[in-house]
Amino acid sequence: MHNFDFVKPATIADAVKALSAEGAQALSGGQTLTPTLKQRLAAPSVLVSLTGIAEMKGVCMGDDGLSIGAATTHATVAKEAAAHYPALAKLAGGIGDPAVRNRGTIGGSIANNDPAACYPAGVLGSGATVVTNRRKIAADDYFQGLFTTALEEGEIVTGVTFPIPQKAAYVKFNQPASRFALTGVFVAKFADGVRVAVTGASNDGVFRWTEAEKALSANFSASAVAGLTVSADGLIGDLHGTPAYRANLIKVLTKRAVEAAH
Amino acid sequence: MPKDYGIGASSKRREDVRFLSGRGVYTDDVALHGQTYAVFVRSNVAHGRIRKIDTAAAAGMPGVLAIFTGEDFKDVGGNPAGWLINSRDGTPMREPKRPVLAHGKVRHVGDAYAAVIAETYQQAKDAAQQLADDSDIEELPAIVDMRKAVADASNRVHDEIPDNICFDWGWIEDNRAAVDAAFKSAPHITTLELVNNRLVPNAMEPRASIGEYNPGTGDYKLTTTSQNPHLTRLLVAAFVLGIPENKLTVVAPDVGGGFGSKIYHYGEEALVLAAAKKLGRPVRWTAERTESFLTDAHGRDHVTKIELASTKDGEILAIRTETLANVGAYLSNFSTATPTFLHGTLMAGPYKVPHVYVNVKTVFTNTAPVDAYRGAGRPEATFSIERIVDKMCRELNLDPFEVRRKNLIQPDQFPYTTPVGLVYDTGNYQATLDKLIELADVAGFDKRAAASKAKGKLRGMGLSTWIEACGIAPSNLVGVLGSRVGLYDAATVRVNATGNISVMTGAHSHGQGHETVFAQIVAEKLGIPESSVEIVHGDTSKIPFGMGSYGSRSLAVCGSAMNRAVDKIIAKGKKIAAHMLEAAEGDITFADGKFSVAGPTRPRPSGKSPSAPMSRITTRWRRWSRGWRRRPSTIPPTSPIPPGPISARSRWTPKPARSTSPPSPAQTISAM
Repeated sequence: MHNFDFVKPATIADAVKALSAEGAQALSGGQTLTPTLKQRLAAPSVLVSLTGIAEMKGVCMGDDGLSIGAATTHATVAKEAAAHYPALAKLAGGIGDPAVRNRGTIGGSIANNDPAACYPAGVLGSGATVVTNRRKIAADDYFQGLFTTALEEGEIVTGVTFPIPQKAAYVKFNQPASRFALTGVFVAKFADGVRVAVTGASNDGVFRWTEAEKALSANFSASAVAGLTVSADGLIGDLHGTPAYRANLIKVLTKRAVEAAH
Repeated sequence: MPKDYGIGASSKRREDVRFLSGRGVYTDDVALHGQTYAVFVRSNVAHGRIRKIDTAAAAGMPGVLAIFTGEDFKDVGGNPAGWLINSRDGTPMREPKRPVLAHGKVRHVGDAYAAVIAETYQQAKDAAQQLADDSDIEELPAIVDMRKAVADASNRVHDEIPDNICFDWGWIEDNRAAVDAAFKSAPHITTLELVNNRLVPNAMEPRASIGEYNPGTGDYKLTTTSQNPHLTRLLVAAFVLGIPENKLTVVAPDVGGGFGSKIYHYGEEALVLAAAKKLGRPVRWTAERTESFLTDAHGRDHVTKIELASTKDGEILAIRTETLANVGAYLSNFSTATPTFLHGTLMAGPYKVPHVYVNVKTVFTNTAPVDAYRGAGRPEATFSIERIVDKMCRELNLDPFEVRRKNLIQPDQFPYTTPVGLVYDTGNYQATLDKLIELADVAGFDKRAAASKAKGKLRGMGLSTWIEACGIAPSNLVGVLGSRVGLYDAATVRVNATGNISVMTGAHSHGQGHETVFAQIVAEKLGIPESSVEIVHGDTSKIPFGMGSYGSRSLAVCGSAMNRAVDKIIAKGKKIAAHMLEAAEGDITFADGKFSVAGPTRPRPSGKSPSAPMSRITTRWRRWSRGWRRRPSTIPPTSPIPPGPISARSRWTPKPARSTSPPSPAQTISAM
């Protein structure tokens, strides 16, 4: 690890100000950034912790749906969202292990947009709205590829607002060492249609499986996707699974998610 | 009823109190006044010629105290191989020097060619990066594939070794013609080519070492992650740095797993000692996980062609193997024993195979050194044999259970001499197989498979037998077979003045639970509570010279030494008890922790027969020796037991088993 300065502001305004410094880097739960620093793969001059900002924490049910502060840990979401959005709470409770869940945050996860992370599937699959210090961004516009988002320089995620679907479920095939999704599928059924978001599978990060959405919107049952095929083009191939293997997983996990949805 | 005390009791491990409460002391936990930090500069190419290492910029960086390169160690010794193997033609194996730091060439990714010592870890890390940037290493074609390494003599891991072969070993060479003849006349031959993949041991605690030097006394101290501190001391003193053995203490404190990889001496240990002397300050190093993966001795890595000759009904007539065994870039301490005597000698398995011939060529490659890892050579043998027995069953459409039953050595054939030099002393393999068939409900398998199939799932059944040679020893035979060290072990049992016991062992615990199990042995034999027995291990200044823990030898070899040392304590105690109880030494018996007089004795006012517990024996003896007892004159002036607390040491090496049949051409090895 290289040397850096560390600041822990108490307000979003102070955080934004601190992040304007040369070489500043936002730090939330640090589940990706800290190992990167330890490997000397990143050398920020200032780390701006976002975990001391009260207005960025907590789970709150409102008229727009379920609002979760960006600095809320996975463990808190697993506990406090359970009554409002059980599928999302279950997703949060299945991330990593207890140590990860007690440090990692929803804002950190979606700002990083790891292609195998669970939260991007939940946010995109729910059609949630990402709230920043400057604007509100629809999930469909927010995720823009591998580790890439719509966030601009100096812009930080402050929260996420989830509409509550009629039924939903997230099913992932664990990478057993990290419990990242080797492939994970989030299915959500709304009054106006079904959304299916896939993580862990594509070289471009989380994406929507629109053919399945169409089929499931007409008939919300596992058999609706039986006739569909997923192309292996552009899917991740590594020592854990080939693109074809992941293509098959997408279909299998979608079926399971539909069956598990409640 | 399971025992709740002594040998065989399933007690909670006493060492876990400190481990589970975070109070273990591992090498990296040791903090010393004035300590400095070493960081190694490692090759990021598999094979390269070192053209230039410019240390100037790194040396001028903040906190940097010293920089070492291979040039600094070119005149000291290399880290040696501990086992000499001769090739089939009688020539000795090729032993390239394994230097403290690479000199001239780097030979594997992770090969350290320089080290930086600085005031802080970060400063050392920064300077090491600078040094890497300032080093000019010409990349050479990497030699990775063993077959290509042997075939292409133009590219060499060590310039002085023409074919990249360390040795070409035949076991047993005198049997080769008979084995070939058996294959020529065999009704059926099965052939199988196998890769037994390389692996990284990856102990939970990475390797770590701290060197200290006291200029006032000339004493060195090495605190390190070792399975055998005395062996490390011997290697550092006698072979690598030439430090007098009496001026070097090696301490292996709590060690978090070894699996073989911490048997061996590594260059980092020599470096921290040399650097500590140069600076007059402690020098410490702890491997990062990446360094562990790159530089801990790896395991396995065999490419094998195995052939099996049989009758059409599955009777095994002969086994023949050709193996290429990767030793990596340098010979690690036991790398030459692992694919040979720990492998070839097991190549008959538990079967009555009349003819076996094993050929092993060990090959240098641009990969991390390979050495003994969990089972070491023996699992590779089992894997080869069992895979080919199964293949033979498939080829001949035979039942794998019945083929094994037919070929297993019969209970009345023990002791059984195999054609690969071992004597199996005892066994009843058929009974084990019967029990297995019963426990696994083999008869019900078809039903279970059908039930699984109905659910769209597949169910299979595999069968494997194996025989394992454990407790690596005895010294005289391993010596004959090429070991450059004896494989004995030692224990000292000291009865402290107040009657409790300290046991100093040559074995080293790095997860095995010795502190619990060894205490059980001593406690049961002496009839005292286990809590009265302390096990001391891992510090060469405290323990007798023993060979450490690997090859499942701690209990078999060191436990036996301990057993004998306790017997000596009892024998000494009898002499003292004889005086205390006013009886002849031959009339004293020891049972349940008490010395008593056998046979009729003079009636005592209490009506109890006279006896003395171990604690009283030692307490009295101590008092006698200091003249506290009322009748000090009862100490016999000619007593063979000197006054003071009694202690005893025993060194043990197993004896070879006796064979009833004529010995094979090679020495027979038993109880390895």
